[in-house]
Amino acid sequence: MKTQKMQDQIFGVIVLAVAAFYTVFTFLIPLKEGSDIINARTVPLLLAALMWVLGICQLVTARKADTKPLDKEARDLRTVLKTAVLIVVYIALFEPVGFLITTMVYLFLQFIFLTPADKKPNYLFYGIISLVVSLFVYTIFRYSLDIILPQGLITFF
Amino acid sequence: MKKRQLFASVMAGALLLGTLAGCGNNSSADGGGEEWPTKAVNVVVTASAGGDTDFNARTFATYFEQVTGQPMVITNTAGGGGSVATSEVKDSKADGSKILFCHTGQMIVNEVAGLIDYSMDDFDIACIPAVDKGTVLVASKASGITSVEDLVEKAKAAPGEITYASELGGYSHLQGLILMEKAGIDLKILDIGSASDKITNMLGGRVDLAAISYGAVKDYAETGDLIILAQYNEERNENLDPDIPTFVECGIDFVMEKPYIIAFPKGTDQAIIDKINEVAAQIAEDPDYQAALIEGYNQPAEYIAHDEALELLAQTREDYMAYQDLLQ
Amino acid sequence: MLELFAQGFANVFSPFCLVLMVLGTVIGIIFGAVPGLSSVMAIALFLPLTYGMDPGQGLSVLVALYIGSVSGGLVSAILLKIPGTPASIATCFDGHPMLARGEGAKALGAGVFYSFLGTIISVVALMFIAPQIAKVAINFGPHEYFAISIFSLMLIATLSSGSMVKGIFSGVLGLAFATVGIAPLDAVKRFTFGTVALSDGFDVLTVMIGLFAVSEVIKIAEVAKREKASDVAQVNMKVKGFGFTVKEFIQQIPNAIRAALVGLGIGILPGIGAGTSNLVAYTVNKNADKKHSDEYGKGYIGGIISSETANNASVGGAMIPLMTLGIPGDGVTALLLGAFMVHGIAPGPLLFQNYGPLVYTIFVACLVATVLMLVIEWYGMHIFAKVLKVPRHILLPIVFVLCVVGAFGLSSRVFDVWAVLIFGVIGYFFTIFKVPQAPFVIGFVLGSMAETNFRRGMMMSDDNFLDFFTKPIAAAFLIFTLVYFLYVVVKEIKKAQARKTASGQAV
Repeated sequence: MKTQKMQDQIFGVIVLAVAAFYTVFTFLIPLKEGSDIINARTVPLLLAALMWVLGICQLVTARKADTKPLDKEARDLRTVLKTAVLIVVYIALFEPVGFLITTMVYLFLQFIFLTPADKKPNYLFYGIISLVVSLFVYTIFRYSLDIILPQGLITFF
Repeated sequence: MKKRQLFASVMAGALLLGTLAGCGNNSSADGGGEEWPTKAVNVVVTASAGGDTDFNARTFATYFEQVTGQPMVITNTAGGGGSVATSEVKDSKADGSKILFCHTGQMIVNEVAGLIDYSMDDFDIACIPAVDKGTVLVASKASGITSVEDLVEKAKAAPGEITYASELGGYSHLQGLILMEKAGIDLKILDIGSASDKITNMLGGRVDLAAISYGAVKDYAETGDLIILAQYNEERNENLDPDIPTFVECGIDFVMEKPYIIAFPKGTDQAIIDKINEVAAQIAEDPDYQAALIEGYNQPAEYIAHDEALELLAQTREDYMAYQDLLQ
Repeated sequence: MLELFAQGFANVFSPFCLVLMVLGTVIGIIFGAVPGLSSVMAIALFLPLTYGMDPGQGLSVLVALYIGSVSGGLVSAILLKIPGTPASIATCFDGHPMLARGEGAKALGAGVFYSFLGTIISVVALMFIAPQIAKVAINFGPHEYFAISIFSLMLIATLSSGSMVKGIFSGVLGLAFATVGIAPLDAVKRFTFGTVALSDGFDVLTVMIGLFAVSEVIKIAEVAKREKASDVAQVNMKVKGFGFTVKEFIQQIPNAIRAALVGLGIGILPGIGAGTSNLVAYTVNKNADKKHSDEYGKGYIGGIISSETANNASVGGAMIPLMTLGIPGDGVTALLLGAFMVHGIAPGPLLFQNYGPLVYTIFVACLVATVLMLVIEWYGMHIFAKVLKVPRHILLPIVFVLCVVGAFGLSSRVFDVWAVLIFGVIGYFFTIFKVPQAPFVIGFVLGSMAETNFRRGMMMSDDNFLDFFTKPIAAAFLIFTLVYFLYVVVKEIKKAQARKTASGQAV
């Protein structure tokens, strides 16, 4: 992603890839017998066609795009990746382990991951906040919104 | 930095341990059937909040708590024509903690229409806690139809011209199909959507007929913008306008009352099912409950116990199956 | 009428009712402001409580919740760049740049004041011309709904300040996601990959919090490590009044009027409401306000005014078909209808005639709730701003947890939480490639409406597409859509040519 042109081209390719994916699955939509001209595939086909057109437009205009290097935006991909994995694990364990435990652990770890480099993580403070937020949210949902969040291992309240 | 990483891995390990423990613990059930309910019961309703199904479920829930001391927590899962809710309850633990509250539209019509690939036999049906008797057939002013006899006459003169508003594949579609067969007429069935859409389109003169709950069209009947033709009940429901005839009185052998159903996942303890029947019978006797139903949806309280309910539903299913090809 | 008004005042101004209304407004604002919690949840929570109350008082409380929650979304839109509800999406566009420039107080003040104004205008319309404008709603059938959804989509897709292709792609992708699930009319399962969960498609709340909130959490991870601990945004809350001047107020009158009309017009149509009207009003004003057109999206007060006036004007707008026709337009008004029905009152054309005192109690409640909202939010501004004192690495994970529970609470299934994550990832990619998120949300919201009504219309017209052009309202919207599209394309091309010549001269 060094130049605007490259970025625009990559985007064009992504659009075409999405279009291809969507087109294939549109043709896999089952049709009912006697479906007339307008059926469950009509609108998806129209959208797929639009995506192809947009992808091509994007690639065509990208040819004339700026080739000057973009400002270097350093993305801290390590932290992004750690956060993404943490979120996936959190959601995966949300139901089996239960809201309280997973949320506490998620918050605690997420606070640590996102702590600015020039600041030391304050574990005690993070722990307390994680605990308080989880308990507070659970109680509010359970007792005032009547929504039972996954209880998992803690089934006693 | 190192210390932080150590801490993180310890916590991650704790999470993992939690999962393992969680896997071994899944079978913890909710005590024996006799004591049921020992904690809040989750009721999955096949309709969004605010409608008649939701109203019946919530009213029942209020009195359930009065009788048993345990609350019923309502979850509204309207999606997929109710199929999301039915699937959810079907696949949940059979420990009495999750109940389905629906009506024949979701329990039977969805199967007939091919929307779901399972049937009422995949549940333990508990009872019919209430029966909707408020639905009426309505004609728009623009259609010029004034009575069922008039409708039959006009439809026979111009087959397939008179339009009927429904949700294709749903309960109202079936209502239309059965009406067509029993009256020997041919209507043009359109997909219009919810009750609100039906009313708007009838007022706008874009569609001629629809089956709607009485409460929603009462005012329009008075102003003359809509004409109520008949009620779907076996006998006149005295809580509606007493002058609305039944179809039978109009010479069409057509009755279609809509029972609500309480069902459990298959394999639920018989003691739990007996218990909820006991509770439902008690609720149906409660004068406050009866008054609430009449005030909300002009609906007299009616409770049909387990065996009789099963019989009725099986019969209904057989009747509806005759329309399978037309509905799909 | 005055007598009825007096009676309404007497009902609302009972201490019991007033206390509940204050509580309702506060809770509404909180539910509106917290991403993941919605107006529908707030009202569903209170609905059972109102069963035991007198109908007028019960509805007053619900109305307070409704008004509070539609307005509350502006707080998180401005302070966090995360709209609390779909009604405040357009508020982010200018609200956050203003905050970054140190004008957070002014942005909040304008949002609060114009929320108030929008509601008042719509309530006045509800009181005096409801039956007349309700007739408009009756004239909208499938053909007209199809036309207006296409019209709104086009307006919003071309809104993007950057590349038009990206804006339209975002909208088309939203439409594509709306096709997941059971198809309208023939109930064919599409893109469900054999799962039950997908047969219901995605919920709009998961789309919105995913695209805006979760993507924001992932984005913060990009820079979190580099951020200095001292980089916490400071908002100067020492402002006079609402932060804007009388001169600005006079200048903005045309914007406010246009936004109010758009909000009201969209609000009265069942099926579309504040979530669409804020964006349509924003686009309309951006085009109409020629002098400041370029300032929209860069922290222009007119942007906030457009969005907040329109979304709250839709509140009164949505009440009109509910109270005069008995037709609810969205989840919230469906719940309000339920609140009427429980008391044996079926709203319809005779409601005003048969239940005059009740109707006027609701009118007064709307006015009172609007004033309460103004007062509470004005005093609350200082408390809201304190939220920003919480370091972002603490605040955003908590926001994320709220999104997770909000999604889970929709129908108690983890599937919706996964959906939030999926839309979060999409939203993150959007920010990398500078694709606007708003068209996606609107494409998603209007997608199923456009398709369903297209197919219903075709069925009604025996598959004759020309019917969409023989019905005057539908034809007008469709032709205007076409003309507008051509206008935008020509403008784009001219802009590209101008850029070309400019760069040519430079070389």
